[in-house]
Amino acid sequence: MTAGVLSPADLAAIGLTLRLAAATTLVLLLVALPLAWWLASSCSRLRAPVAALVTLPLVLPPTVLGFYLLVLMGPDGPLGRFTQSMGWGLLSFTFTGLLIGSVVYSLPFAVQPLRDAFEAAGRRPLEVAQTLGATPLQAFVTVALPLARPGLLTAAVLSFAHTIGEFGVVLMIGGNIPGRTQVVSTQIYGHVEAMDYGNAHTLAAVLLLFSFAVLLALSLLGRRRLRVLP
Amino acid sequence: MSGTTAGGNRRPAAAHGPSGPGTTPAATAGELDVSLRVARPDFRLEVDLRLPLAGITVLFGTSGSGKTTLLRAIAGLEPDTRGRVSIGGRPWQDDAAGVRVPVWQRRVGYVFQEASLFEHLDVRGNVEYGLRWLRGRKAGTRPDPGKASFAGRDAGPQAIESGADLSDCDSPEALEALIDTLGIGALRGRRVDTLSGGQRQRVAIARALAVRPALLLLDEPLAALDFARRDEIMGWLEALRDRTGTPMLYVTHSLEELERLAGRVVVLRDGQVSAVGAPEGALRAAGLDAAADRLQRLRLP
Repeated sequence: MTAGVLSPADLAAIGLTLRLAAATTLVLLLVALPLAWWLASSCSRLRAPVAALVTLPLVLPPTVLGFYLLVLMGPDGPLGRFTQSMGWGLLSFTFTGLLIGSVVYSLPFAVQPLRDAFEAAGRRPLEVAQTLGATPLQAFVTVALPLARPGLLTAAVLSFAHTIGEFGVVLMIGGNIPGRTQVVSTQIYGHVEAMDYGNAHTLAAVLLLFSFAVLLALSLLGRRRLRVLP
Repeated sequence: MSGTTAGGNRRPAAAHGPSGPGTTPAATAGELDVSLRVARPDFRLEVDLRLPLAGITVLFGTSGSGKTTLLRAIAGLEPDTRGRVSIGGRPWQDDAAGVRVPVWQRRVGYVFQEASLFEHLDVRGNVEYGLRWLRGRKAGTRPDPGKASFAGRDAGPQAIESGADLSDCDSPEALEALIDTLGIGALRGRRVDTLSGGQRQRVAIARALAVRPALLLLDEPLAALDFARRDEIMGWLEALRDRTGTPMLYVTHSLEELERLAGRVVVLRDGQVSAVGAPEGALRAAGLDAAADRLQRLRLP
């Protein structure tokens, strides 16, 4: 195989990676929004342990995280037993398993920007909205969410980009099965293992350019926000 | 406030001390009845008040005397408050009877010290924010007995009939009259982050009044403004007092604001009411003779 041309397997890996990143981002936003809101506004004693738990994937080696998830999803794990009892089979080495792993792994990248945005806006706009007749949910949707839009955007972009770049967790849970769980990063690993440096270069360049473009876009968006603020 | 008349110039006959719990007769339709307790490790509030729903009542006291806590408690923003609040005979909170009307159903206007405009909306979006919830609930809502009308005796050709009910509180004419009264017509399409401090506070006041609250609460609305802006806003507040008839509770520790705006004063000290009444008399009854003397000097031409 010559360098610079993407093989069908490479293209399949890119397609799967994009699908995984998009699905992960969507699920993460749905999970992270209420979680970040709770972390930003709750006075509960559970807040500190939950915050630590959410941040854990940031410091744990991905293989450790992947290992625990694999055990959880396995035939003897609680999640595995549950999915089997429901007739869904085992989630390990499937796209859904990969998705669960990605969501857990990128959770802090979605929660933290949202939590920061909610905390920066503070409680006051919500109090104002409620004195104007909005229920807490209406105030959240019409005031807290729009005010947190920059945080929402950052959370989405970071979740997407982080999922694209993940390796350890997907390797542990997905097992690098072509067409099913083989993503770009594990495909590069496969190329290197096979001493196929040309294709490894091409795919690595694709990832590098993509990551650079994402960070550039984030930085430009941030600059535009700064410009319009007084 | 007696019904919907503008009662800005009404004055109580004389200053008197705080009323004790359980010693006052049943609240009438024209009164705000407040009997609240807040017990925190670092602060206690114990207030029993009965105020006519008319004009501007100033809550006066030093920092830490409980003015803001009382205002927030009346609005329903302090969950650890116990006691009773009723407005025009209608209960907002009565813990003994298990009643607690949530903030969003109290129809209370609240103007915070720092305006707190919604930065993602323009001036129009801010002023009209509360109307959508009002429209949503209008069908099943009865007119509020303590509700003030938007435009009173001096409101000019765009005035809404005194006693207008909830069904026309969001009419374009009523909103226009309010926007004119506050002089923010030219700002409508502006982003709020381009407004001056005084303009922001006027928009915040318009936003609070647009939903025609039964009671307007103002928490040191001029504290963050310079002298010229303070003077300007006080003029707008006087116009609102005279035109809308919306009763206002106004927190301040400024004698200048008290002198210019107060129809009556509630003096708070260490979370308790020291005196209630006409400004100078209430200050003297609370033992604040120096402040009363200064107030007297401020009134000299």
